[in-house]
Amino acid sequence: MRQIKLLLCILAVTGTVFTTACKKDGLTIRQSAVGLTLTPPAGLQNVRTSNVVLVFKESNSGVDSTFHMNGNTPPAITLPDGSYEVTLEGDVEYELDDVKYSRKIRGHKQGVAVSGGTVTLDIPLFLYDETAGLVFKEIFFTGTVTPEGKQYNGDKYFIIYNNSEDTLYADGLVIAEAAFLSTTKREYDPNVMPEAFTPGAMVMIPGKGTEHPIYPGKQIVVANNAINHKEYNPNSFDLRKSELELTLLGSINVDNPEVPDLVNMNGFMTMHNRGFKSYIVGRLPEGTTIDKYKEENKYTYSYIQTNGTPRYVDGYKFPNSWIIDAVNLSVPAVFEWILTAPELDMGWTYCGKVDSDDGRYGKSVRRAVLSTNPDGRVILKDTNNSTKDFEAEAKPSLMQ
Amino acid sequence: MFSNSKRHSIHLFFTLSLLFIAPAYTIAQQTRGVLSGRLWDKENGRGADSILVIAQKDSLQFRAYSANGGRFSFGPLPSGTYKVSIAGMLFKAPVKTVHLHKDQQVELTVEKALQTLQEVFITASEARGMTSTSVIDRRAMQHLQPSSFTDLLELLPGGRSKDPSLTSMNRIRLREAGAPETDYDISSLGTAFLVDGAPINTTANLQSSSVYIASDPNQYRNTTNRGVDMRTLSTDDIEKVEIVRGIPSVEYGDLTSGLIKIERKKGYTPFTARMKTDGFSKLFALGKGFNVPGQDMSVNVDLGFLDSKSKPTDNFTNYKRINSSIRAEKRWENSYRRLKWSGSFDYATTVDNQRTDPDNGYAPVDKFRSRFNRYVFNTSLKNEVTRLGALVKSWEVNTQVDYQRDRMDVTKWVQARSATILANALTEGEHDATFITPSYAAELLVDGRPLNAFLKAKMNLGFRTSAITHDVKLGLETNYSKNFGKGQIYDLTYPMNPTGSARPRAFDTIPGMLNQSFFAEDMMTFNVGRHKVATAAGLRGMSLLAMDRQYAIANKIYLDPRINTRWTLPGIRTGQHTLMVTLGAGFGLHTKMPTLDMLYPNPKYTDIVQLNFYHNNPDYRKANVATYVADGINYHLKPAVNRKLEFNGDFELNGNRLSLTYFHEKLTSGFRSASRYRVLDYKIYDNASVDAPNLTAPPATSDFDYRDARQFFSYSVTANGSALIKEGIEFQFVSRRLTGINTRFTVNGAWFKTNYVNSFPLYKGISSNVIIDGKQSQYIGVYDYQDGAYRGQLNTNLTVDSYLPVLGLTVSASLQNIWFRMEQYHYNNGTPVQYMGIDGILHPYTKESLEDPNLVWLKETTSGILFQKRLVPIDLQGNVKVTKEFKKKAAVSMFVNRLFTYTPDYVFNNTINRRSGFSSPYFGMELNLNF
Amino acid sequence: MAILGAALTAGAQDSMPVRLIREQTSPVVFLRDEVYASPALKVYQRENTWSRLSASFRHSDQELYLQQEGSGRQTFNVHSETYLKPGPKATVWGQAYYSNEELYKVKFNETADYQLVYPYVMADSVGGDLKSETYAFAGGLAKAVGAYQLGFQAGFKGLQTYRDRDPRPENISSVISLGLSASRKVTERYTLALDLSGLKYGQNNKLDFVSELGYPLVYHEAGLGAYNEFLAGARTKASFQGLGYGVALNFVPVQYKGWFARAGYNHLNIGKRLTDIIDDISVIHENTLNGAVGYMFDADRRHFIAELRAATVKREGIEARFINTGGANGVQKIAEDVRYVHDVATFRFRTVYGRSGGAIDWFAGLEAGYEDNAQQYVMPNRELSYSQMLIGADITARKQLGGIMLSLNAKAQRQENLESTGRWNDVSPQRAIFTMLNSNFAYLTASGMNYGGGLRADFRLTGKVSCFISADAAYHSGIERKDLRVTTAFQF
Repeated sequence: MRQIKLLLCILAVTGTVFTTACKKDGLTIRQSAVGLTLTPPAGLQNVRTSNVVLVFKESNSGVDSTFHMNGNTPPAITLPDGSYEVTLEGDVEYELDDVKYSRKIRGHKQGVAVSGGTVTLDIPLFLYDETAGLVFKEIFFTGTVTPEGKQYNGDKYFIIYNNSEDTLYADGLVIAEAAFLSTTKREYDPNVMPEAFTPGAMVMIPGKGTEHPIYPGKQIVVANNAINHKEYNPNSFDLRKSELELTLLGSINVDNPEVPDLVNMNGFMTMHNRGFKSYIVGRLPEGTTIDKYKEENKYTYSYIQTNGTPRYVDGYKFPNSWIIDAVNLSVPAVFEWILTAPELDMGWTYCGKVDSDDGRYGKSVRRAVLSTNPDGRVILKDTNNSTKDFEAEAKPSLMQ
Repeated sequence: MFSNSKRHSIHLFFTLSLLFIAPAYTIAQQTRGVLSGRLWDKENGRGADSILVIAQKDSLQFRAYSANGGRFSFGPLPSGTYKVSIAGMLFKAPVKTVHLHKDQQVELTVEKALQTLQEVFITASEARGMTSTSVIDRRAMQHLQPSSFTDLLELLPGGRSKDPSLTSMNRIRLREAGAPETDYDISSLGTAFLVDGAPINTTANLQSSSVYIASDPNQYRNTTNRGVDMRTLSTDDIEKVEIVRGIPSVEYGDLTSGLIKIERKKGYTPFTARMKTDGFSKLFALGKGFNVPGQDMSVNVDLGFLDSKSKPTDNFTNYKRINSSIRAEKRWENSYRRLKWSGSFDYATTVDNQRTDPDNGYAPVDKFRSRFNRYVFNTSLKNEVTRLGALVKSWEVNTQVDYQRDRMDVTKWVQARSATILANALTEGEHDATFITPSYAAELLVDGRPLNAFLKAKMNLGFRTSAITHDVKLGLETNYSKNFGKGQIYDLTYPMNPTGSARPRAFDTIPGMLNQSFFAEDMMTFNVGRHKVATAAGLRGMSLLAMDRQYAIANKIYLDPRINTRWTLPGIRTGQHTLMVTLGAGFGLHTKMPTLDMLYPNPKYTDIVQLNFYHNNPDYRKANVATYVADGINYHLKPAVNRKLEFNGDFELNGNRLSLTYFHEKLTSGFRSASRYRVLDYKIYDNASVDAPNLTAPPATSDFDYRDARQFFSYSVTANGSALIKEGIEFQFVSRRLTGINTRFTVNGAWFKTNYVNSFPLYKGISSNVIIDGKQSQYIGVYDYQDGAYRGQLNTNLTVDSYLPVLGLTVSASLQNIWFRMEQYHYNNGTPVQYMGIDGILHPYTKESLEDPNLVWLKETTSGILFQKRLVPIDLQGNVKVTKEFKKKAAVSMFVNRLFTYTPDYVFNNTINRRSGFSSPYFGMELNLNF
Repeated sequence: MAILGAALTAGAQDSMPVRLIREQTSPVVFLRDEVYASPALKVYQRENTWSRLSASFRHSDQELYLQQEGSGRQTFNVHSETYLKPGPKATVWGQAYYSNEELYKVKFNETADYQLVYPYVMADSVGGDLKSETYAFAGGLAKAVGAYQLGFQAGFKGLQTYRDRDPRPENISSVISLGLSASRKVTERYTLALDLSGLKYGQNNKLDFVSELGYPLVYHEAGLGAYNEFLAGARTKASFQGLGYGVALNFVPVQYKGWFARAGYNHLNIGKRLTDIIDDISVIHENTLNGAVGYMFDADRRHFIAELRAATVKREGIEARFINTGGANGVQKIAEDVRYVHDVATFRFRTVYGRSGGAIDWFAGLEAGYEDNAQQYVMPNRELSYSQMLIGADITARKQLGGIMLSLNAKAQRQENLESTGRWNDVSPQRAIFTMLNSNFAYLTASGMNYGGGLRADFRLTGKVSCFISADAAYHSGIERKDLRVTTAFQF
């Protein structure tokens, strides 16, 4: 009977275990309280914020949490632990030299860690101006595909638009592409982003000051190669009517004698065809030559590679104050950060939702229309937030 | 099971075999008797099956296997006196003498002979010769389950198992801690491979497509100037490999790093078949050795097929290898000499295929196919004088002719990324150019036909002077290499790389290369008391004949003196056993001649666009290009010379053996591609000087105004600029096989420290980002720092192997550990010592230069952390191999490499380097049949 | 057929290893084998020793299926197996096999070994047929030492799955298993065994695209279609590392007569990593408890076995959240929570009774089972749960006809869903994930009839070598599954 006892013993143990099985758990997720401080721009007095909308976007879950705030006291906020991008928009009233102003205010912070129960967060606020004269109306950076499915590059272009009421001149305008990638966030040392943009390729529109007028509501097209691309790719289009033309790397450059060329300041503007880079348009200060700019703004930055070895790169700075318009580009699936100060552009736009998206070819990013004046002049949307200002994956305006 | 074609080839194989046997068989019929018998197992009194029985009559050998119940039969044999014995690892039996004049029965009693297991190695063993040499025999290869020769290198000290990489070139690197991509190809180029005494000569290999295709599919397969591609060598016909890591005899030359001697199977073997499968390849091999009865002659036939993919997910990148070989050996013997003739014919073909995957989304036009066909005829005659006291002990003549047909066929869909100028002038000067066709299928054929002829004659003398025994080797060796191929063939209007600047060249316009050498060596042995000393001292001279006098290398004789010595101490009694100690040392120079491609490189073209007038009206378009040609020849090129020094120690006690080698190798004249800059003048035509909108006829180039411009352009030449300094200790401990569990422990490993460095100043152009007055490339910098790194590693491999005969099981486990890897870059502050402006004058690079907004770009930013020593800690992997035999006729084997790994993460510069995870095992199975 | 013909003539001359075949074709033995699976009980498992070399072909497909596992498969397998008692005190067993498989329509899963690593697979909505190769060997040894049987076994299984069209996974996984066991006779009739087992699991999971133009979104499934957006996109290399251990107690009769019981506990941990991220992105903890009790007897002509089994499995998935700092170590973990839970409880009863030695040998079996299954995901909150019942009967008949031993079996079962809940309201019906969840739900909650049958013919080939050919087929009406298998084997 000893074996029976043993058997019963085993049965008793397993029996108790199985009766407890299959109870559903109430799963809970850790949350943290966020203590918020908003710091207005220095020098403003009697600051009063109102109609402030705070959006916390969690990057792991993709969930947006929106909070409203009236007055200067931030709301009590509790969020699931995660990594957040915080954007803030609202109205502000302030006094400066005894004059009252009523303006729009913004704040932006990327990569905010919320974890560990309580988090304190300081968001610097900045004022912004919605009235830039010259803006990027459209950037076509993806190129086209041939009927055989091969990439074709020569037909990329920029369109710069006069969004103001005055005639403006494109002479001396600098178009620059970022040296960094919006899909690879790095701790660059030094970090100059709050005061300057780090350009890779830079080109300048030639002219003595009044050679390239842009009338209100008009545009200029800066083409990679201002030729009829249909000769090379039936899926492409004719760019012979472009106002200006880039000079590319010798092997892929052609020169249409009837279209003036831009001056290459640094490298060649080949334009990243997956849109991993941001673009700015700006101007050197009066009296600054290209050589002087390069002499005064060369800097060496470094970052630590994943194996621990530092890498040093020589580059240039382009001060934020010289920048007229900026557009951040990225790809939703691999976006990591924006490459400009949020004052210049707080958002980003794209062609292609994943890296190497084959749907991106023949698509561009186009600035949305805000309104049309009674005189027919179209005013484009320019809130310094490309996410909102641009139509992503749009049909290129020059494509028939 | 077999496809039709395979069935055919088997038929053919047997028919051929019969052709060889049949005539011999009729001769043997004259007088004969059937020799048969039975083997008895002493232990259980039953018949012992599956044992190889050998009947030996003088130098004639006959073999048979015992079947069920221990019965065996040799069939009819010529009458005479036979010694009947058995061969096998697990059994032994006394030799029986049989006088055969009629049918006869023999009975042999066999018993388990575990002591013979002592001679069984599944790892490489250290040879007992004059220099450090690893020997890998058939059994070790079988247990390893290799796909190609590359896999054998795991067994060398410092070796480690690696997954076969059969869709790229496999290079050898002996005694090195690192594997830099380029510039140190001398490692593999300077390792000589000898198959049955004749070299695999790669001097005339020009099969490269690198500058002709934008993204070269041949890039990782390119063997030009890199020596032997080991994936082309099958291991199934190999009996034994000797890898001379140390200082080879002067008999062997045209090498710097080492010598691989491959000896192929000869004489009788059973019919063997092998099938291996792993995740990305399938291998089949058949082999058989026949004795031609009564002829003192043997014939061996081998056939192998390998089919592999780069990875299982890619059906369109694959590699196929077919090896076939037929070898005959015939012996004549009388009382004063033994004469041996051997001849062989080998045919091997390898095919690299790469096609466009249909998933690429467009018409699958792109194709790459690189095929090597190698035909080798080898014959040798060796005469050994057996008469006592003869001065000439032997002489030998060996000749080989090998001819290759190499063909690389590439088809590629070329799509202009924008309107592009086509520069294709074959002569220097200014040429009007056209624009390329928007898209087209470009075709390239690279036709190479290297022919190598080899002749070697050698004589051995033997005599005594007082107490010294001399063995003298004297010999001559001639190698001739020439490529009869037509080179790169393509339509110049439809180039594969429209933006490159390559032009075709016919290989047969390149002169042949005649490499003549002689050697003389005296091996002296003498005893001092109970001490025994052996010293081999020799000299080899090598010269390239019939070279143009402009070459520094022409008509010079390069001498390689080499000496090796061994001192065997008298045995030292320790307890029951005797400790045997042998000490050795060696020193030598080793010279490797440049290849045809290095001495006669492709001319270098530079195309500069001068006019680029892309008018809206296609008829009015105009382009002009200035073309410059540099011959690219470096007339100062010399052979690479490696100086080796080594010390050895060998200790043996009770069947346990420890071998140690310290080596130091210094090679400072290795071949590398070096940058050369030259200032070229060209014109920049002004498009605005022609009234484009109002043209009525095509403009002429002369209608345009222009300004003169000049800038630096680079090209590359081969120079003796790579230094490769190797130092290290190699060790191997082999235990005796423990009785009872039949287990042997082997520990081998090495500590290597290798210095890879350039031995010339470096020229570098200024960053292309720097545009000075709209002009690029206006400066070059001269840097005299050492560009390179120290690399080091210490590794040990512990192998435990056991035989469990009762279960028919062989099991081995090896623990391969790299204790550390080290890498340290040589310090430099990134500052050039000199710079050259466009005027061509060298200036010192000074503090003021650093202030110059343009020259400052020549200064490279560096920091101490870049030159810190990086120590990568332990990297351990465990491999297991199991073989189960079924009645000795069939065996199923399985191997798992990296069954487990241990690679801890480490921190460098506050950064965690993740190493764990992401390593998966490599495993496969094999079926072997013997009958 | 030629082989069969040859066997008929050969069979007349020599006798077959009838005892071995009887043992191999008895449904009582099938169930009993599991009772004696412990290395220290292997000595009792079978009365007859054998070595086998076999090749088999199998094809199955079904209308309803788990998308991640595919709609069926075709397998070619070469198998060698041995069970020997080389001395009076030793038992040795081993097997080695190679399988070449094609798996059909595997979607939302680019990772191998779904049952081990779920829900944390790499996924995209494209998928397709997969190819798979398995290389395995295992072996063990038991030795009698005094009153004890000491057993040891070890095994390796290497698997490679891949696809040669986009998307192209290339997955290599390996399982190393070890078992240590000791048994001691507690009475003349009974013995008690304690088993310790361990396993080490690893998988390298890569996904590749060759298209020059682009590829779909690749994400890392976290349970019920949820995934981390931050990790979605271009992260196409994952690695799984797992460790498991188990302990079990077996109480069995040594003479196939009497009561038996088993209780066991297993734990499994599998972590998943991505390249460039130092921390595991998710970890699985699984605890399994199982127990069984039963009775068997094996008299001369009568054979009986009855067993009641129960098991609970609790699988918890811990998921981490990340932040990109931009530093050299880039992405870092900032939080982790249990976000996925899967609970399963199963009960199964089976009994078989048989008579042999008459004109015809026969066996009759009954089976009943109950399963309760619940999966949950939190934030977003999703749930999939169901319970089901199964009841069935089977019969086996065996007869020697000249030189051939024929055995025939047939079964019928009813599977009935009792309750089901599926909740994933936050998923937009436009998304492929919605379709996937609904399709999986339909499969898991299907009710229907299962039918199956098989035939095996054994005959002698030459000398000690015998041979068999067998064919089995099954059909499940609820999920419309069709399954066919043919095997040929040599035994010696």
